[in-house]
Amino acid sequence: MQPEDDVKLLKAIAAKDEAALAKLYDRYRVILFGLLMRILNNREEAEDVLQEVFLQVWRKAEDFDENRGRPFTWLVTLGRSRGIDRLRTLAARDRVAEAGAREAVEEISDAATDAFKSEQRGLVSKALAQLPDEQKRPLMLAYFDGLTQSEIATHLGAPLGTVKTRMRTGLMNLREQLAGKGESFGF
Amino acid sequence: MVHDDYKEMIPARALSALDAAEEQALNEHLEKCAECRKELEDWQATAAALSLTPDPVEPSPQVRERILSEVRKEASSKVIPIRSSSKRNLWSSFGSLGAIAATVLAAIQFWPDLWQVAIVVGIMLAGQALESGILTPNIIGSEIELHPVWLIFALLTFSYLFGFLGLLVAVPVSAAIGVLVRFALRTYLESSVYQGSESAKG
Repeated sequence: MQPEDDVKLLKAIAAKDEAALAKLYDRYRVILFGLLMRILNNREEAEDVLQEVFLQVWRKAEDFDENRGRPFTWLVTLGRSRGIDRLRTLAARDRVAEAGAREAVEEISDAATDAFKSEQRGLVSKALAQLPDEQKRPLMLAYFDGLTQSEIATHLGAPLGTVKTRMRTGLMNLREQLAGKGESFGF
Repeated sequence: MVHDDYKEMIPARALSALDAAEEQALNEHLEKCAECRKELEDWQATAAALSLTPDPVEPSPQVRERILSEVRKEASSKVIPIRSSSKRNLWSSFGSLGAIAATVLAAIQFWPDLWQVAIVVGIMLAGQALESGILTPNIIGSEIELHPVWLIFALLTFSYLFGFLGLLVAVPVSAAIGVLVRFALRTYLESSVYQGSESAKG
């Protein structure tokens, strides 16, 4: 993990250092693009949003506050919310995409998945696998499909209260699973 | 609702899965409650871990190019805000027009006496050198950052509306208006109204 390094990069970007932006892009492009592809399932849209995200990083890097979380969290939260925004715009334009019915995306880049991230990915996948399906699905529907709790309740045909509880329990379990697995997740 | 109710909503907020009304209520609470803000940051870190579960995908190399060229464009448009060179050209072309007119008039007036004409030309040249070399760059110069067309428009409008006094205040007033307009535009472009909402900032 290079959180201090990332903090430095963001500070350099805030000072309008182009090379730092390029470096941050190279470090996180495959993760963010993978995330955006998972959300949007469309290469063109995902690339467009990816560009938008990094331009926003360029303009907003000075808003990043290292006391309020990790660069990774900041970047990913920004990327994800931009992706979901785009998904909603598209869904409003076309028909609503069938949530959850997405094909897995192939093309894994080995060049850019360095040891750190693949290790982290392994940890998260393992932690997620420990969750019962009824807790995992609400998490996935919220995070990758941008559904709200009541939309998830409708989608799964479960009572809203149940969905709320399962979602909370699911995220708590995930946090417990990840706790003590290194500094990298911010706790 | 009490603090604990809000606290219970925070994991869902980190997944941005709250329904609109709940989210608004929680956001109001977050403004006041530092403990809940910290809590939200922690949950956001957990939620961010989910971003690692999809397979990484390589975007096409053009995206990198597009980002960097866009960034460069922004950077250069900030460094060169319609430089004073165009202004100086305009002012000095006014100056030389005046110099030619004065020379022609002097020639008609004093024709056989070339000395008189030379004196007029000398005065015009000295005046113009003073104006374009020292006065314009320093006084009007890059400081006010107004396009010459705006300047002309301001001078015409103010003199028409307020006469001679208008002519005097035209440049400083329009420069002040320019500063305010640029500030308003920048604030708007950076605001969430233009950029869209984003929960990233918690």
